[in-house]
Amino acid sequence: MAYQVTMPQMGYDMTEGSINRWLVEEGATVERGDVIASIATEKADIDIEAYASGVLRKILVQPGSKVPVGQAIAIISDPAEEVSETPPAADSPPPGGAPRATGTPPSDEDKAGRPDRTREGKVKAEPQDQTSAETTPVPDWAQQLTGHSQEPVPAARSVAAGGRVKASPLARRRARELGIQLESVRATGPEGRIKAEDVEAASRGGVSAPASRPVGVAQPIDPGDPSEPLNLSRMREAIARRMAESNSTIPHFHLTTEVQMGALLALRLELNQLGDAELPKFSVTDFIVRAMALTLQRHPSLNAAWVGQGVRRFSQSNIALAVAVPDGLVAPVLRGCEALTFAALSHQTHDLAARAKTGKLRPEELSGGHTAISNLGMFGVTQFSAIITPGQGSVLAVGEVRQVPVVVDGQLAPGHQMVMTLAIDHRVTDGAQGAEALAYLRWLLEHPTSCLV
Amino acid sequence: MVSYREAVRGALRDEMLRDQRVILMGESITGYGGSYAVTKGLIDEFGPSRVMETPIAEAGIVGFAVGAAMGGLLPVAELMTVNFALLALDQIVNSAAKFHYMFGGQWSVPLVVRTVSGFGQLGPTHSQTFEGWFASVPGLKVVMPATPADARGLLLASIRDPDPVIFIEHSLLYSTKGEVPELTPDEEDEIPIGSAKVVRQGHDVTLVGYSRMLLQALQAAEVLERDDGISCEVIDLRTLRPVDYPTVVESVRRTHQLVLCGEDWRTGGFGADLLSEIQDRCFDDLDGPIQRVAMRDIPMAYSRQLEKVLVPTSDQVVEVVRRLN
Repeated sequence: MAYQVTMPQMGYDMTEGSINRWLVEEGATVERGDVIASIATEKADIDIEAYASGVLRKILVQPGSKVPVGQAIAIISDPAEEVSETPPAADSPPPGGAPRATGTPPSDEDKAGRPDRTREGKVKAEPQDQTSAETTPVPDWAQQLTGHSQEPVPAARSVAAGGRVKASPLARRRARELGIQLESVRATGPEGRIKAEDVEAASRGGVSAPASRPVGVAQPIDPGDPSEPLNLSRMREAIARRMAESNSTIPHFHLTTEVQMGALLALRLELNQLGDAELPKFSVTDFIVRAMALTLQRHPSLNAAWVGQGVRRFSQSNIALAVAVPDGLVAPVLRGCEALTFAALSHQTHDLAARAKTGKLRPEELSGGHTAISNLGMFGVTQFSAIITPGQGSVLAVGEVRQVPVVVDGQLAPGHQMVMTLAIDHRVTDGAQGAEALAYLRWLLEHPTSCLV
Repeated sequence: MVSYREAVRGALRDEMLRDQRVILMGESITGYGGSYAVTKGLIDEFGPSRVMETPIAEAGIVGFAVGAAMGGLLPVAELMTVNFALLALDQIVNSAAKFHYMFGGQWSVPLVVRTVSGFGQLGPTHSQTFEGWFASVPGLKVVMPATPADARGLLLASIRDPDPVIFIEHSLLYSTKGEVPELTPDEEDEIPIGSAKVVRQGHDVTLVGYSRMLLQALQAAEVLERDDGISCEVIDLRTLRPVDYPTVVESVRRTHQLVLCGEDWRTGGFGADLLSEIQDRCFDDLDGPIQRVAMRDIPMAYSRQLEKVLVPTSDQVVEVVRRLN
């Protein structure tokens, strides 16, 4: 039996990946579970393991090459077997046009058919046995929608019935082939269904930002400038695509408020001077994350996102935290923040931020946020507005905590003030509800002991 | 130009002339020529030993015919309408369809049961069509021609076929006319059972019909081309068991949309089974749900006005295609 090792899909929005390096040479014997290659996705580097034992017969994709999810990248076969079938060329779509990265024959260890992700962020390279029944792992977004993140489900896409994008089978196939996100395609078919021609239109640069051609990055800004366009990093491409998609499809509105930070700064100082080595050093951001977690619980209209054709409300407070890294930014997600103690939340925030800067985040830590927080206060930015990440319903842009004159009981006095701007997807909720949520968030920050309970 | 009725009669006559083993049996098929005058005049030419008048006893007609077929003849039994075929279901399903299998191939049952679908103020018990019932039985072949040429070619193939064939004509097609090709003696005169035919080429939607609904589909295709600029490919299924799936699948892979046009009831109708198979073979090619046009799930009304509401028409096909696009 010959197995095709395919480019795995790490997260539902991953459409392609590239090989960093092969760790095994052609002709070498591999055991199931051996790390055989390192691949680069838009978000992180991941080791992939051999799913089957045998001989690595053929490496189909060389380091540095970018291939779509589901495409064969290597072939593993039984030692005695000659590989007769010709594998697909590196730049051609996989057989049948459908990426099959998610096909996983059931095994003892993996009865549910989910890809076997280890804690080290490894994923088993999945064999493509044409005769085996296919099952589909649960994508992160489906887990959010169903709340069954731990439950293996045989066919994930049909699970999230309520939040599923309505598209014809042919449209789905074309979207896979063209690397188009169905969420970003405008439907013209009956009952709001995306038809194949809608996908084609999107791929020609209609309402969707196609994954394979990031908007506005291919052309040099000055046509007279002889310099070559920058060779974009995968992260740059992802940011370009996602932000263009967001800005052109999500109707943002912005709410700005000033927060008096004196009490919060005093409480933070007190906590950090307790001298308890077990406690983390609390940051202002920790308080904001905590306050946001509580706000999402108190104001469910904010804990929601536009998914497919409608609004999905979430139960947990999952908050993405924008972290600047050398050639872009990443936004690791703190899940279920409302249930964490303040100290645990702070530990996790620091851990995620530290690993974000060193590229050590696991793929599953990079998706599933319901809202996001972006803090540029450390750069002296007083206030700004941020762009909502597709799949989330809002984003909070946090400015610098500044000493300003404030009026207290009719008297002018020095005070600490922070300006924050909440951007909300108007499809999800409206101004008044957003303002109520923002007012609560502000109240929490101005009464920071409430963040500790 | 030859009428559908004349085409069936011509095929019976020519095959009776060609092969002495072919005999006809049925109710009123001698003097009156059968309820739709298909066999008119054959008694005069072939006499009562080959054109046999029977009592009004459908189980008996088919039972005799099964026995005659096992004994070496090639009987063509006429059942006045498919409604009366219900009385002969046991002989058709439990005898004709089974004997070749039950006795290790010692016998074949080269029988043709000719019967008629249709409606037209005939009331609830005489306006039905049951092709889906027959098509669900292994061991039977089911043929439903729409044109005079197909009626002739398929009837010849049915009589020569070694297995039992349910050959369902349509009362509203008997007077329709069409060309039946003149063939030289060495040309193939039969149309193989199990072959569908693309009767109109198109690229937006595939319409599959058979018998009267094929003509409705063709009319709908005209209207859609003229008024909506929608190009319909129309396929005449011609045989319901075995179905020529490759022809339908090939078309759906080009048009990505499919409408199935039948005249039997929607629930459990033949189209439901066809739909199931096509969606299985073409799932990733479909750009919309497979649609069906079928008889309403109501016993037929006698009233002409109510009947119009129940019966599937070309207008309904047009409407369904417009909804898809």
